[in-house]
Amino acid sequence: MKKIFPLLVLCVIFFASCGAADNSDAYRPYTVALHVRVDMLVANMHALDSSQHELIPADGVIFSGYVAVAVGETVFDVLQRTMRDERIHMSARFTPIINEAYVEAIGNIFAFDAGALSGWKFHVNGEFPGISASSVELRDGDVVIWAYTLDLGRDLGATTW
Amino acid sequence: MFILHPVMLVISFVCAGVYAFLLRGVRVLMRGLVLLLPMMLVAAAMNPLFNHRGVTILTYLPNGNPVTLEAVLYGLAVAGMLATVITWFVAVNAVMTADKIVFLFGRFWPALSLLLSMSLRFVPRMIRQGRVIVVAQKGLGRKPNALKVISILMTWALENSIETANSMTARGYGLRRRTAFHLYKFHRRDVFALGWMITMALVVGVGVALGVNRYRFFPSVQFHALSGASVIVFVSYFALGAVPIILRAKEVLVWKRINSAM
Repeated sequence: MKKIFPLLVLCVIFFASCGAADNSDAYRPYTVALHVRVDMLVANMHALDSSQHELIPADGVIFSGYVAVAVGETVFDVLQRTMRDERIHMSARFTPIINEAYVEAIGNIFAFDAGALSGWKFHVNGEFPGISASSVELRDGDVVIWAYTLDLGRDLGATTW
Repeated sequence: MFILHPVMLVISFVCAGVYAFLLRGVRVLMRGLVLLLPMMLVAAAMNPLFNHRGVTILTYLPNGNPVTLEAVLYGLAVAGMLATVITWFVAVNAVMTADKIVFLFGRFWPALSLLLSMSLRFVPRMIRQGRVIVVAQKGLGRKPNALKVISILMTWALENSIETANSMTARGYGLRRRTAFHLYKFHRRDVFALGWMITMALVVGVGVALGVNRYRFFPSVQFHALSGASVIVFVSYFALGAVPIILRAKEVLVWKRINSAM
Protein backbone atom coordinates (compact mmCIF):
# COMPACT_ATOMS: atom_id res chain seq x y z
CA MET A 1 0.00 0.00 0.00
CA LYS A 2 2.91 2.34 0.66
CA LYS A 3 3.77 2.51 -3.01
CA ILE A 4 0.23 3.32 -4.05
CA PHE A 5 -0.21 6.26 -1.71
CA PRO A 6 1.97 8.82 -3.59
CA LEU A 7 0.22 7.78 -6.80
CA LEU A 8 -3.14 8.52 -5.22
CA VAL A 9 -1.94 11.90 -3.99
CA LEU A 10 -0.67 12.72 -7.47
CA CYS A 11 -4.01 11.75 -8.99
CA VAL A 12 -5.88 13.95 -6.52
CA ILE A 13 -3.61 16.93 -7.20
CA PHE A 14 -3.89 16.38 -10.93
CA PHE A 15 -7.67 16.27 -10.96
CA ALA A 16 -7.96 19.17 -8.53
CA SER A 17 -5.81 21.32 -10.80
CA CYS A 18 -7.99 20.45 -13.76
CA GLY A 19 -10.89 22.40 -12.34
CA ALA A 20 -9.04 25.69 -12.27
CA ALA A 21 -10.17 27.59 -15.35
CA ASP A 22 -8.97 30.99 -16.43
CA ASN A 23 -11.95 33.23 -15.82
CA SER A 24 -10.08 36.38 -16.69
CA ASP A 25 -12.43 39.16 -17.79
CA ALA A 26 -10.70 39.72 -21.09
CA TYR A 27 -11.75 42.71 -23.16
CA ARG A 28 -14.13 41.33 -25.76
CA PRO A 29 -15.17 44.03 -28.19
CA TYR A 30 -16.63 41.81 -30.93
CA THR A 31 -20.01 40.13 -30.98
CA VAL A 32 -20.39 36.97 -32.96
CA ALA A 33 -23.44 34.80 -33.59
CA LEU A 34 -22.76 31.18 -32.74
CA HIS A 35 -25.04 28.29 -33.67
CA VAL A 36 -24.51 24.59 -33.02
CA ARG A 37 -26.96 22.46 -34.96
CA VAL A 38 -27.72 18.82 -35.66
CA ASP A 39 -30.42 19.16 -38.35
CA MET A 40 -28.93 16.34 -40.40
CA LEU A 41 -29.33 14.00 -37.44
CA VAL A 42 -32.89 15.11 -36.72
CA ALA A 43 -33.70 14.14 -40.31
CA ASN A 44 -31.70 10.87 -40.10
CA MET A 45 -32.12 9.59 -36.56
CA HIS A 46 -31.70 5.99 -37.73
CA ALA A 47 -28.04 6.73 -38.52
CA LEU A 48 -27.37 7.03 -34.79
CA ASP A 49 -27.27 4.32 -32.17
CA SER A 50 -30.53 4.26 -30.21
CA SER A 51 -28.66 5.10 -26.99
CA GLN A 52 -27.84 8.51 -28.46
CA HIS A 53 -31.34 9.48 -29.52
CA GLU A 54 -31.93 11.25 -26.20
CA LEU A 55 -29.06 13.62 -27.05
CA ILE A 56 -30.74 15.05 -30.13
CA PRO A 57 -33.02 18.04 -29.53
CA ALA A 58 -36.19 17.96 -31.62
CA ASP A 59 -35.50 21.34 -33.22
CA GLY A 60 -31.88 20.41 -33.95
CA VAL A 61 -30.47 23.34 -31.98
CA ILE A 62 -27.82 22.50 -29.38
CA PHE A 63 -26.81 26.10 -28.89
CA SER A 64 -27.81 29.39 -30.42
CA GLY A 65 -26.83 32.83 -29.26
CA TYR A 66 -24.54 35.84 -29.40
CA VAL A 67 -21.06 35.60 -27.92
CA ALA A 68 -18.60 38.33 -26.95
CA VAL A 69 -15.27 37.68 -28.64
CA ALA A 70 -11.82 39.10 -27.96
CA VAL A 71 -9.59 40.34 -30.75
CA GLY A 72 -7.63 37.46 -32.25
CA GLU A 73 -9.84 34.71 -30.86
CA THR A 74 -10.39 31.82 -33.23
CA VAL A 75 -13.52 29.88 -34.07
CA PHE A 76 -12.22 27.05 -31.94
CA ASP A 77 -11.47 29.27 -28.90
CA VAL A 78 -14.95 30.72 -28.99
CA LEU A 79 -16.64 27.35 -29.35
CA GLN A 80 -14.67 25.82 -26.51
CA ARG A 81 -15.23 28.76 -24.16
CA THR A 82 -18.92 29.02 -24.93
CA MET A 83 -19.60 25.30 -24.58
CA ARG A 84 -17.86 25.31 -21.24
CA ASP A 85 -19.76 28.34 -20.02
CA GLU A 86 -23.03 26.82 -21.17
CA ARG A 87 -22.18 23.44 -19.58
CA ILE A 88 -22.50 21.70 -22.93
CA HIS A 89 -20.25 18.71 -23.48
CA MET A 90 -17.46 19.17 -26.01
CA SER A 91 -14.30 17.27 -26.80
CA ALA A 92 -11.42 18.07 -29.14
CA ARG A 93 -8.14 16.55 -30.29
CA PHE A 94 -5.03 18.64 -30.67
CA THR A 95 -2.06 18.44 -32.98
CA PRO A 96 0.22 21.06 -31.40
CA ILE A 97 2.95 20.97 -34.04
CA ILE A 98 0.64 22.41 -36.70
CA ASN A 99 -1.52 24.22 -34.10
CA GLU A 100 -4.58 22.32 -35.19
CA ALA A 101 -7.62 21.48 -33.13
CA TYR A 102 -10.13 18.92 -34.32
CA VAL A 103 -13.56 19.09 -32.75
CA GLU A 104 -14.52 15.47 -32.31
CA ALA A 105 -17.65 15.95 -30.26
CA ILE A 106 -20.24 18.48 -29.17
CA GLY A 107 -23.10 17.47 -26.89
CA ASN A 108 -21.78 13.89 -26.73
CA ILE A 109 -22.30 13.39 -30.44
CA PHE A 110 -18.94 12.27 -31.74
CA ALA A 111 -17.46 12.22 -35.19
CA PHE A 112 -18.18 8.89 -36.91
CA ASP A 113 -21.12 8.19 -34.61
CA ALA A 114 -23.45 8.37 -37.61
CA GLY A 115 -21.35 6.66 -40.25
CA ALA A 116 -17.84 6.87 -41.67
CA LEU A 117 -18.38 10.29 -43.26
CA SER A 118 -20.00 11.96 -40.26
CA GLY A 119 -18.53 14.65 -38.04
CA TRP A 120 -18.60 18.31 -37.07
CA LYS A 121 -18.03 21.05 -39.64
CA PHE A 122 -18.23 24.80 -39.31
CA HIS A 123 -18.80 27.68 -41.63
CA VAL A 124 -18.31 31.39 -41.10
CA ASN A 125 -20.76 33.72 -42.87
CA GLY A 126 -21.83 30.81 -45.06
CA GLU A 127 -18.34 29.91 -46.22
CA PHE A 128 -16.45 26.75 -45.39
CA PRO A 129 -12.86 27.91 -44.81
CA GLY A 130 -11.37 24.45 -45.41
CA ILE A 131 -8.84 24.89 -42.60
CA SER A 132 -8.85 24.11 -38.92
CA ALA A 133 -11.12 26.11 -36.64
CA SER A 134 -8.07 27.03 -34.57
CA SER A 135 -6.67 28.92 -37.57
CA VAL A 136 -9.71 31.05 -38.34
CA GLU A 137 -9.85 34.35 -36.46
CA LEU A 138 -13.20 36.00 -35.94
CA ARG A 139 -14.30 39.56 -36.59
CA ASP A 140 -17.21 41.59 -35.38
CA GLY A 141 -20.57 40.46 -36.71
CA ASP A 142 -19.45 37.09 -38.00
CA VAL A 143 -21.97 34.27 -38.04
CA VAL A 144 -20.44 30.93 -37.05
CA ILE A 145 -22.42 27.77 -37.56
CA TRP A 146 -21.21 24.39 -36.35
CA ALA A 147 -23.24 21.62 -37.95
CA TYR A 148 -23.09 17.87 -37.84
CA THR A 149 -22.65 16.34 -41.27
CA LEU A 150 -23.38 12.80 -42.38
CA ASP A 151 -21.56 13.14 -45.70
CA LEU A 152 -18.26 15.02 -45.28
CA GLY A 153 -20.10 18.34 -45.45
CA ARG A 154 -21.75 17.80 -48.83
CA ASP A 155 -25.19 17.61 -47.17
CA LEU A 156 -24.46 21.03 -45.62
CA GLY A 157 -23.61 22.53 -48.97
CA ALA A 158 -19.85 22.48 -48.59
CA THR A 159 -17.70 22.21 -51.69
CA THR A 160 -14.35 22.34 -49.92
CA TRP A 161 -13.14 20.34 -46.97
CA MET B 1 -15.73 -12.69 -17.98
CA PHE B 2 -16.07 -10.17 -20.80
CA ILE B 3 -19.38 -8.76 -19.64
CA LEU B 4 -19.04 -5.34 -18.06
CA HIS B 5 -22.24 -5.54 -16.08
CA PRO B 6 -21.19 -4.71 -12.49
CA VAL B 7 -23.26 -7.47 -10.87
CA MET B 8 -21.87 -10.08 -13.26
CA LEU B 9 -18.35 -8.74 -12.78
CA VAL B 10 -18.69 -9.13 -9.03
CA ILE B 11 -20.09 -12.66 -9.40
CA SER B 12 -17.28 -13.67 -11.73
CA PHE B 13 -14.60 -12.04 -9.61
CA VAL B 14 -15.82 -13.67 -6.40
CA CYS B 15 -15.92 -17.10 -8.08
CA ALA B 16 -12.45 -16.64 -9.57
CA GLY B 17 -11.06 -15.34 -6.28
CA VAL B 18 -12.47 -18.18 -4.18
CA TYR B 19 -11.29 -20.80 -6.66
CA ALA B 20 -7.81 -19.32 -6.94
CA PHE B 21 -7.66 -19.19 -3.13
CA LEU B 22 -8.68 -22.87 -2.85
CA LEU B 23 -6.02 -23.84 -5.40
CA ARG B 24 -3.09 -21.63 -4.57
CA GLY B 25 -3.65 -20.46 -1.02
CA VAL B 26 -3.96 -17.03 0.42
CA ARG B 27 -0.33 -16.01 -0.10
CA VAL B 28 -0.28 -16.41 -3.87
CA LEU B 29 -3.61 -14.63 -4.05
CA MET B 30 -2.38 -11.69 -1.99
CA ARG B 31 0.80 -11.41 -4.02
CA GLY B 32 -1.32 -11.37 -7.15
CA LEU B 33 -3.57 -8.68 -5.71
CA VAL B 34 -0.62 -6.46 -4.80
CA LEU B 35 0.46 -6.63 -8.44
CA LEU B 36 -3.10 -6.25 -9.64
CA LEU B 37 -4.12 -3.22 -7.62
CA PRO B 38 -1.77 -0.64 -9.23
CA MET B 39 -2.65 -2.06 -12.64
CA MET B 40 -6.36 -1.62 -11.90
CA LEU B 41 -5.76 1.92 -10.66
CA VAL B 42 -3.87 2.82 -13.82
CA ALA B 43 -6.56 1.30 -16.03
CA ALA B 44 -9.30 3.13 -14.15
CA ALA B 45 -7.40 6.44 -14.17
CA MET B 46 -6.31 6.28 -17.81
CA ASN B 47 -9.77 5.92 -19.28
CA PRO B 48 -11.23 9.32 -18.31
CA LEU B 49 -8.06 10.99 -19.58
CA PHE B 50 -8.61 9.77 -23.12
CA ASN B 51 -12.28 8.95 -23.23
CA HIS B 52 -14.46 12.05 -23.10
CA ARG B 53 -17.83 10.49 -23.69
CA GLY B 54 -20.54 10.92 -21.10
CA VAL B 55 -23.12 13.51 -20.14
CA THR B 56 -22.04 14.09 -16.51
CA ILE B 57 -19.07 16.44 -16.65
CA LEU B 58 -17.06 16.28 -13.43
CA THR B 59 -14.22 18.62 -14.28
CA TYR B 60 -12.01 19.70 -17.18
CA LEU B 61 -8.54 18.61 -18.20
CA PRO B 62 -5.93 21.33 -18.75
CA ASN B 63 -6.44 20.98 -22.51
CA GLY B 64 -10.13 21.79 -22.16
CA ASN B 65 -11.57 18.32 -22.60
CA PRO B 66 -14.10 17.13 -20.04
CA VAL B 67 -13.60 14.39 -17.46
CA THR B 68 -16.92 12.59 -17.28
CA LEU B 69 -18.44 10.40 -14.60
CA GLU B 70 -19.37 7.82 -17.23
CA ALA B 71 -15.78 7.49 -18.39
CA VAL B 72 -14.62 7.03 -14.78
CA LEU B 73 -17.22 4.32 -14.16
CA TYR B 74 -16.33 2.61 -17.42
CA GLY B 75 -12.66 2.68 -16.44
CA LEU B 76 -13.52 1.07 -13.11
CA ALA B 77 -15.57 -1.62 -14.84
CA VAL B 78 -12.72 -2.38 -17.24
CA ALA B 79 -10.31 -2.52 -14.29
CA GLY B 80 -12.64 -4.98 -12.61
CA MET B 81 -12.77 -7.09 -15.74
CA LEU B 82 -8.98 -7.06 -15.95
CA ALA B 83 -8.72 -8.24 -12.35
CA THR B 84 -11.29 -10.96 -12.97
CA VAL B 85 -9.57 -12.30 -16.06
CA ILE B 86 -6.18 -12.37 -14.35
CA THR B 87 -7.62 -14.10 -11.29
CA TRP B 88 -9.23 -16.75 -13.50
CA PHE B 89 -5.91 -17.31 -15.21
CA VAL B 90 -4.17 -17.76 -11.86
CA ALA B 91 -6.53 -20.69 -11.39
CA VAL B 92 -6.11 -21.92 -14.99
CA ASN B 93 -2.34 -22.00 -14.57
CA ALA B 94 -2.71 -24.21 -11.53
CA VAL B 95 -5.22 -26.58 -13.13
CA MET B 96 -4.09 -26.86 -16.74
CA THR B 97 -0.94 -28.92 -16.53
CA ALA B 98 1.10 -29.70 -19.63
CA ASP B 99 -0.26 -33.23 -19.99
CA LYS B 100 -3.84 -31.92 -20.02
CA ILE B 101 -3.03 -29.42 -22.75
CA VAL B 102 -1.31 -32.07 -24.84
CA PHE B 103 -4.26 -34.39 -24.31
CA LEU B 104 -6.76 -31.73 -25.34
CA PHE B 105 -5.06 -30.36 -28.43
CA GLY B 106 -2.62 -33.13 -29.33
CA ARG B 107 -5.01 -34.90 -31.67
CA PHE B 108 -5.93 -32.21 -34.12
CA TRP B 109 -3.11 -29.71 -33.70
CA PRO B 110 0.04 -31.32 -32.27
CA ALA B 111 2.23 -28.28 -32.90
CA LEU B 112 -0.09 -25.96 -30.97
CA SER B 113 -0.34 -28.20 -27.93
CA LEU B 114 3.40 -28.60 -27.85
CA LEU B 115 3.94 -24.87 -28.21
CA LEU B 116 1.39 -24.09 -25.49
CA SER B 117 2.69 -26.61 -23.01
CA MET B 118 6.29 -25.55 -23.58
CA SER B 119 5.76 -21.80 -23.55
CA LEU B 120 3.49 -21.87 -20.50
CA ARG B 121 6.20 -23.79 -18.69
CA PHE B 122 8.94 -21.44 -19.81
CA VAL B 123 8.59 -18.50 -17.42
CA PRO B 124 8.24 -20.43 -14.15
CA ARG B 125 11.11 -22.64 -15.23
CA MET B 126 13.38 -19.66 -15.89
CA ILE B 127 12.49 -18.18 -12.51
CA ARG B 128 13.25 -21.46 -10.77
CA GLN B 129 16.59 -21.82 -12.55
CA GLY B 130 17.38 -18.20 -11.68
CA ARG B 131 16.96 -19.04 -8.00
CA VAL B 132 19.17 -22.12 -8.42
CA ILE B 133 21.88 -19.96 -9.99
CA VAL B 134 21.70 -17.40 -7.18
CA VAL B 135 22.04 -20.15 -4.56
CA ALA B 136 24.92 -21.74 -6.45
CA GLN B 137 26.74 -18.41 -6.78
CA LYS B 138 26.29 -17.73 -3.08
CA GLY B 139 27.57 -21.23 -2.34
CA LEU B 140 30.70 -20.41 -4.30
CA GLY B 141 31.20 -17.40 -2.08
CA ARG B 142 30.33 -14.88 -4.78
CA LYS B 143 27.91 -12.03 -4.62
CA PRO B 144 25.44 -12.65 -7.45
CA ASN B 145 24.33 -9.49 -9.23
CA ALA B 146 21.32 -9.41 -11.52
CA LEU B 147 23.26 -8.94 -14.73
CA LYS B 148 25.51 -11.88 -14.04
CA VAL B 149 22.61 -14.12 -13.08
CA ILE B 150 20.77 -13.22 -16.28
CA SER B 151 23.87 -13.85 -18.33
CA ILE B 152 24.28 -17.31 -16.80
CA LEU B 153 20.56 -17.92 -17.21
CA MET B 154 20.68 -17.04 -20.92
CA THR B 155 23.61 -19.36 -21.52
CA TRP B 156 21.79 -22.10 -19.70
CA ALA B 157 18.59 -21.47 -21.66
CA LEU B 158 20.38 -21.59 -25.03
CA GLU B 159 22.21 -24.76 -24.19
CA ASN B 160 19.07 -26.24 -22.76
CA SER B 161 17.03 -25.48 -25.85
CA ILE B 162 19.48 -27.44 -28.03
CA GLU B 163 19.36 -30.36 -25.65
CA THR B 164 15.59 -30.22 -25.53
CA ALA B 165 15.37 -30.15 -29.30
CA ASN B 166 17.67 -33.15 -29.66
CA SER B 167 15.90 -35.06 -26.96
CA MET B 168 12.49 -34.39 -28.45
CA THR B 169 13.57 -35.43 -31.93
CA ALA B 170 14.85 -38.64 -30.43
CA ARG B 171 11.50 -39.27 -28.77
CA GLY B 172 9.54 -38.73 -31.94
CA TYR B 173 7.85 -35.43 -31.22
CA GLY B 174 6.23 -33.80 -34.19
CA LEU B 175 5.39 -37.11 -35.84
CA ARG B 176 1.81 -37.44 -36.86
CA ARG B 177 0.78 -40.62 -35.15
CA ARG B 178 2.64 -40.20 -31.89
CA THR B 179 0.43 -41.02 -28.93
CA ALA B 180 0.56 -39.76 -25.36
CA PHE B 181 -0.33 -41.62 -22.20
CA HIS B 182 -3.38 -40.41 -20.42
CA LEU B 183 -5.96 -41.67 -17.97
CA TYR B 184 -8.89 -39.48 -18.91
CA LYS B 185 -12.17 -41.20 -19.51
CA PHE B 186 -15.53 -39.66 -20.04
CA HIS B 187 -17.61 -40.87 -17.09
CA ARG B 188 -21.22 -40.23 -16.24
CA ARG B 189 -20.27 -37.51 -13.78
CA ASP B 190 -18.42 -35.77 -16.61
CA VAL B 191 -21.54 -35.92 -18.73
CA PHE B 192 -23.44 -34.36 -15.85
CA ALA B 193 -20.85 -31.62 -15.27
CA LEU B 194 -20.59 -30.81 -18.97
CA GLY B 195 -24.37 -30.76 -19.33
CA TRP B 196 -24.66 -28.47 -16.33
CA MET B 197 -22.08 -26.04 -17.66
CA ILE B 198 -23.51 -25.98 -21.17
CA THR B 199 -27.02 -25.40 -19.82
CA MET B 200 -25.92 -22.54 -17.57
CA ALA B 201 -23.81 -21.00 -20.32
CA LEU B 202 -26.78 -21.23 -22.67
CA VAL B 203 -29.09 -19.55 -20.18
CA VAL B 204 -26.58 -16.74 -19.69
CA GLY B 205 -25.94 -16.48 -23.44
CA VAL B 206 -29.63 -16.35 -24.32
CA GLY B 207 -30.29 -13.85 -21.51
CA VAL B 208 -27.51 -11.58 -22.68
CA ALA B 209 -28.61 -11.90 -26.30
CA LEU B 210 -32.19 -11.01 -25.36
CA GLY B 211 -30.88 -8.09 -23.33
CA VAL B 212 -32.56 -8.92 -20.03
CA ASN B 213 -29.63 -7.28 -18.25
CA ARG B 214 -28.71 -4.70 -20.82
CA TYR B 215 -26.29 -2.07 -19.67
CA ARG B 216 -24.69 0.93 -21.24
CA PHE B 217 -22.13 3.41 -20.03
CA PHE B 218 -22.37 6.04 -22.76
CA PRO B 219 -23.70 8.63 -23.19
CA SER B 220 -25.37 8.12 -19.80
CA VAL B 221 -25.12 5.11 -17.50
CA GLN B 222 -28.21 2.95 -17.70
CA PHE B 223 -28.96 -0.54 -16.49
CA HIS B 224 -31.97 -2.61 -17.32
CA ALA B 225 -34.29 -2.81 -14.34
CA LEU B 226 -34.00 -5.94 -12.20
CA SER B 227 -36.57 -8.48 -13.37
CA GLY B 228 -37.23 -12.17 -12.89
CA ALA B 229 -35.36 -12.95 -16.10
CA SER B 230 -32.31 -10.93 -15.12
CA VAL B 231 -32.18 -12.64 -11.71
CA ILE B 232 -32.28 -16.01 -13.49
CA VAL B 233 -29.33 -14.89 -15.64
CA PHE B 234 -27.37 -13.77 -12.56
CA VAL B 235 -28.10 -17.03 -10.74
CA SER B 236 -27.08 -19.13 -13.74
CA TYR B 237 -23.93 -17.05 -14.15
CA PHE B 238 -23.09 -17.82 -10.54
CA ALA B 239 -23.99 -21.49 -11.04
CA LEU B 240 -21.54 -21.55 -13.95
CA GLY B 241 -18.74 -19.76 -12.11
CA ALA B 242 -19.20 -21.86 -8.96
CA VAL B 243 -18.72 -25.22 -10.77
CA PRO B 244 -14.93 -25.37 -10.27
CA ILE B 245 -15.33 -24.27 -6.64
CA ILE B 246 -17.87 -27.00 -5.90
CA LEU B 247 -15.74 -29.65 -7.60
CA ARG B 248 -12.65 -28.53 -5.74
CA ALA B 249 -14.42 -28.34 -2.38
CA LYS B 250 -15.83 -31.82 -2.90
CA GLU B 251 -12.38 -33.18 -3.70
CA VAL B 252 -10.88 -31.60 -0.61
CA LEU B 253 -13.66 -32.97 1.59
CA VAL B 254 -13.35 -36.48 0.16
CA TRP B 255 -9.59 -36.36 0.58
CA LYS B 256 -9.93 -35.28 4.22
CA ARG B 257 -12.49 -38.00 4.96
CA ILE B 258 -10.30 -40.72 3.46
CA ASN B 259 -7.30 -39.43 5.35
CA SER B 260 -9.13 -39.31 8.67
CA ALA B 261 -10.57 -42.78 8.09
CA MET B 262 -7.08 -44.28 7.74
